[in-house]
Amino acid sequence: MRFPLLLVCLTLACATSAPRSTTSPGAHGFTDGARSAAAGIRGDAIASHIRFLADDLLGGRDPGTHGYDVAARYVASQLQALGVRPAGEAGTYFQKVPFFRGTPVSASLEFSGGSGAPLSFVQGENMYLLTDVDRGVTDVSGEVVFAGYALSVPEYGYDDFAQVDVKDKVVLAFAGAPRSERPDFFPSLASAVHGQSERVARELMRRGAKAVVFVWPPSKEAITPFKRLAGYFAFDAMRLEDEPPLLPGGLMSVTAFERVLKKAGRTETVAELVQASAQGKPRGFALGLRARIRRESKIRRITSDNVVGLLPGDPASPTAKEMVMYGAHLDHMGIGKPVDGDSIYNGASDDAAGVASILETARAFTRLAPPLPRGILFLFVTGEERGLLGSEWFARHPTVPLQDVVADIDVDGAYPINPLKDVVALGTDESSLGADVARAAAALGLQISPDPEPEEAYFVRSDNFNFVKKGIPAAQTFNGVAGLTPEQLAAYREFWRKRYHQPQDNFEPDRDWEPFAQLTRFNFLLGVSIAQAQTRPAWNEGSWFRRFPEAKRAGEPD
Amino acid sequence: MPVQTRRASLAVRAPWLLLLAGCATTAAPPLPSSPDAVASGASAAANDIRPEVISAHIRFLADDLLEGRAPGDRGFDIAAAYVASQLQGMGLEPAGDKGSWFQPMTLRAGKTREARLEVGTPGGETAALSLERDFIARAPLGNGLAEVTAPVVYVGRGIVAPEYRWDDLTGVDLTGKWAMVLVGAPLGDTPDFFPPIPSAVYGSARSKLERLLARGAAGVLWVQTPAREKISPFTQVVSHAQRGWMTLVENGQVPAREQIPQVALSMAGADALLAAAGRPERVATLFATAERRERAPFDLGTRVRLRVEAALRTVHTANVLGLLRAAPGSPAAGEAVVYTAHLDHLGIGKPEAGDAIYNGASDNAAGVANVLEIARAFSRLPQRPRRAVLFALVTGEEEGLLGSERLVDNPPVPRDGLVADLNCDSGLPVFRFREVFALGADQSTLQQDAERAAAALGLTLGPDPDPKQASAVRSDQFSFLRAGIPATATKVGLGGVTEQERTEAAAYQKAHYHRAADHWEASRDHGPAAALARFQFLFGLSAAQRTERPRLLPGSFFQPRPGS
Repeated sequence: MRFPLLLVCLTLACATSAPRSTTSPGAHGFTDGARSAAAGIRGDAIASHIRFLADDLLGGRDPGTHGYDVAARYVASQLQALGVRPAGEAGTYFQKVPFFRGTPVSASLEFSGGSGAPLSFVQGENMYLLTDVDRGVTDVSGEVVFAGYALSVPEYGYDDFAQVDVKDKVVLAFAGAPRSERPDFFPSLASAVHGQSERVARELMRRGAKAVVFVWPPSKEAITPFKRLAGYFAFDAMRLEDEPPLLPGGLMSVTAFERVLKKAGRTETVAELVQASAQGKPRGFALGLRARIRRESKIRRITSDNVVGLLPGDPASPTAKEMVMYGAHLDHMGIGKPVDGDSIYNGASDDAAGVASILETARAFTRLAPPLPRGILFLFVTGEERGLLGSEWFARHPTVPLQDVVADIDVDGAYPINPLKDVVALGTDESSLGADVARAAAALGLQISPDPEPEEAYFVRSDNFNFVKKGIPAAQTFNGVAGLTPEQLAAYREFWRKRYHQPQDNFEPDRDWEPFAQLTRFNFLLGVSIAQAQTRPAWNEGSWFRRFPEAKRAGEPD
Repeated sequence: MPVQTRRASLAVRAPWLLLLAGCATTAAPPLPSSPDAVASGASAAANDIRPEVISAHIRFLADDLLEGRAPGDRGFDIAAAYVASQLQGMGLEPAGDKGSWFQPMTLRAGKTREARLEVGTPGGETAALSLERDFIARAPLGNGLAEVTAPVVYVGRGIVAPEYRWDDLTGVDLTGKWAMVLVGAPLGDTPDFFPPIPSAVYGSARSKLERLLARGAAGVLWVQTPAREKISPFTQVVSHAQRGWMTLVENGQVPAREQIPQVALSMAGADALLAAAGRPERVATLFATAERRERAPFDLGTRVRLRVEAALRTVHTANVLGLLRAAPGSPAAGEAVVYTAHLDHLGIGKPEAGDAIYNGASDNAAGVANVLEIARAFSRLPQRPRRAVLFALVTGEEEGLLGSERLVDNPPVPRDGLVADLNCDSGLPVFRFREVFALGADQSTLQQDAERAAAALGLTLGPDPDPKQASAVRSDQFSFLRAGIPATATKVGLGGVTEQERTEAAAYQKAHYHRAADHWEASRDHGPAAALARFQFLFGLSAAQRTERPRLLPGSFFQPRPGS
C-alpha cells in the first residue's frame, strides 16, 4: 500500500461493525473443478514466495536496484513454471518502465516580509519539500497566497480560485479536499479523487503557480502525524520518464502554517479556514509574504520492470480475448533509515504477500480444464510506493489491449492472522463485481465486511485506480477482522502501528498461513466468477465512477 | 512430454550388468514395465515433471543477476533462498540447522597474490619458472604463506595400489622433500587393473595428497600429463587458480592436506624444471614410462624453492536441505535416500567474449532444477515411500566437493541412516537420449534400482560413455562413496544416438563446460532434461521404496578395508 493510514482507532471501529451476511447456499455457480482448484491453494506455497521476496538479500525491492530485478526475475520464472504465457514486451514477461529517480541533497523553505525576522524551516521539521525529480536544482521565490484546497469543482459549486489569483505565486493550500456525506458536495470517493495532491499540483501549474506547499490539515494529522509522514518522503522520489515535470512542491504541518499566518499578521484560525471550505465558501488571500524554495537532488535515469503474464481464455469462447486482471505491486521501499538496527524495509506484507497470493491464484487457474471463457492477466507492477507509477505506465502503455480488460482485482493491504471469517472488497459496491464478490464469499462461507475506513478512500489511492480511470471496474481485496480474539486484534493493530512501512515488516516463518490461503481462495473464486460470467462487468447505474475515462485536459498526459 | 513406453530390450544391455546381477546375494525383483510398478502413483508423478518448469528454474538460477553463484557471494545466497522457497512451496520439511532450510558452514578461501618458483641448476645458478605459463601455486590455507626450499623426488603417479600390484612410493624417502607427481591414474578395462572407478579414486588429488602427506612430503609438484591435457587443459587449471580455492574450516582449523604448498606444472613447465635441473627426462617420456606400468622414481638432484603468498578470506555459505518423511509407521523411516545437486558455480571470472559471469546453466542449475522437480514428484505421490528422501542442494562443489563433505560428516539424520546418494550433476542433456548411465551404481545394489527405473521408462542402461573423465570422483557422489555409502551419478548415455546428436552434444559440452557462455537458452528443448529427471525420480523412488536397504556389494572398492 502506498500510504500508511490504516490506523488503530479505525481498525477497532472496523472490528465492531457488523459484517454483511451472504446468502444463497449451494454451488454458487462454481464448478467442481473450480472448487477443487480453490481447495488446492496452500498456505505454505504462499509463504514460500513471501519468504523469498522479503528476504534481506532482495534489499526491500527498490525499483532500479538488484533486489527489485531479482524479484522480477523470480516472478517471471514462477509464471513460466506455471505455464502462464509472457504478456509483456517482445514476447517476454517484462515491461520496461523508464523513470527519473531523485536522491535528495538539500532543501530549505524561507518566508520573508511581514513582521519579524525571516522564517526558515528545516527539512523534516514541520516541513518537507518533495524531492526534485525534474531539474536537479530548484530556486524559486514569489509572493505567497493561501488558496483553500486549491480546487475548482463546478459540480459542487466550489471554487478556491474565485478570490485569489495563483499565477506566479507560491501557493499554500490544504492537502486533500472537503468531504461530506452528501452526494452533492464532495462525497467520500469524489473528495479523495479531487484531493489527490498531484492532480491539484497539475491544476496549479496549469494556472501558472510557481510552487505549492500543502498544509497537512488537522483531519489528516489526527490519522497520520506529520512527523511520521515526513519519514516516507525521505526515500528517493521517482517520476515516469514521459510524465511532464511538476511544479516544486512540499508539505508543512499545521504548526508551521500557523507560524506563517502569524508572521503575515493574519487573524484567521486554521479551524476557521477549514470550516469555510467545508461550507463551500472557501477563503483565499494573499499573505503579503515572499517565500523562497531551494532544493537540490541528484537525478538519474533508471528502468524497472513490470511483470506481466496471461493465461488465455478458452479459444472456443466468444469472450476469449477478454481478460480479468489480477494486480499486486512487486516493489517496496528499499533500504532507508535504520529502525531498531534494521535498515531493510522488506515489505513482506506490502506487497510480497499480494504477489505471493496472486502466484498461487495463478496456479489454481492452471488447474482448470478447459480454461474459462475469459483469459486471466497477471500484472506485477513496479513503482507503487513512489506514487502508483508502474500501474500508471501500464495503463498508459498497455502490453495487451486495455479495452479487453474487463475487471481488475488488486491484492494489497492484507494481513490475515486469524481464521478468516470475512473479507473486504473495496470498490465493488460501485459495480456488478459486488455480485461476484458475494458468490465467491458465499462459496467459502465468508462474510463480506464494509470498507473499514471509507474516509481513507483506499480504493482511489491504490494501483487499481489507474485502471478505474480507464473505465475498468475494480476490486481491492483484503481480509476483514471479524472474529478476532482480543489478542489477535492486538497483534493486528500492532502490525499496522509498528511494522507497516517499517523495516520490521518481515517474513514471519511461524505464522499460520491458512488465513492467507483462504483469502487467496476468495480472490481466485472472485476471478472465476467474473471470467465465466455471460456479461462483462459494469459500473452500477449512477456510480460516481461512470465518469471515467474522463476527457483529457490540456497539459495532462494521456 | 509423456513418459516413453517403449520397452527396453535386455539383450542390448552390457553383459557385465548381468554379471553384476549375479553377484548380488539376493535375486533382483522382476523389472517393471511401467513407473506404477515401482510405486503406486509413480507414473502420474513422473509425467508431471514438465520441461518448462525445469527451464524456468534454470533460467532463474543462471540469470546474470545471480552472478554465477559462487559460495560466499550474494548470488549464491539468492540461489539458496530460491531453492529453499521452492522446497517449502512443495510442502517439504526444512532439514537444516535449527529448523531452518540451511546447513551453514565456514570456508577459507585463498587467492594467490604472488608466487615465485625457482630451480637450482647443476651450475649452481637458479632458474625461475613463469607463473601461469609454467606453473600455478597454492599457498597453505592455514596462514596463506609458504616459503619452501627442498630437494625434489619424482614418484611417478604417486599411487600405492597393492590389488593392482602398483606401488610408486615404497622405498622412497619423501620426508621434507617435494614430491613430483603425474596427475591422474592408470585406467584399465579389466577388473584386475585400475577399472574406471578405482582409477578415478586413486587418481584424485585428494587421495594422493593424503598419502604423500602421510609420508612427510614438504609439498607437491603436480605434473600435467598429455591424457589430462585433453580433458582439462592447463589453461583451465590456470583460470580456476585465478579465482582462488577454498576449503572447509572445522573448529577454526583447515584440513591437514591444505597445510602444505602445492604447485601445478604445465607440461612445458615441468619440462623446463627437468631441463634446468639437468635431467634428461621430459613429461612425454615420464608419462610413457608410467603408461608402460614401469616404476622409475628418481631424485632430481636439485632443490626447488617456492615462495607463495595468498590473500585469505573467510566465506560463509550453506547447503540447502529439505526432507520428505517416510510413510508413517514405516520400519525403514529412519533411513534416507539423498538426492544431491550442487548449487554453486564459478562466480564472476575472467571475461570471455566480454562476459565475465560464469552462469553455470548446465553446471549445475540443470541438476538443481531436476532435483527440485524430483522433489515435487515425490511430494505428489499418493503414499510416501518406505524411506525418507533428503533433497540436498549443496555448496562448494566447484571448490572440491566441500558442501557434500560437510553434509556426509554432519547429516541431518543419523549418519547410519544415509543409505544412498543420487547425485545430479551431469550437465544439461541436449538430445533425446535412449540410454542412461548410473556411474558408481555398479558398486552397490543401486544398480538394480537403476535398471528398474530404466526399464519402467523404456530406456536402456548403458556403460560409462567416457571413463577417461574419471567422473566418479569429480562430483558430490564421491563424498558419499568415500564414506562407504552407496552413491551414483546419473548421466545420459550415447547408445542409439545419431552421429549428428553425438556431434551436437560434444559441441555443446565444449562451448559451455566451465565457460562464461554457459547460459540458459530460450530456444533449448528442455524435454531431455525432464526425461532425465523422470529417470532420476524413479531410480531414487525404487531405492527409497524397496524392502532391502541399499548397500555396497561385497568386494566393492568402497567397502571399508582394513588399514585404509
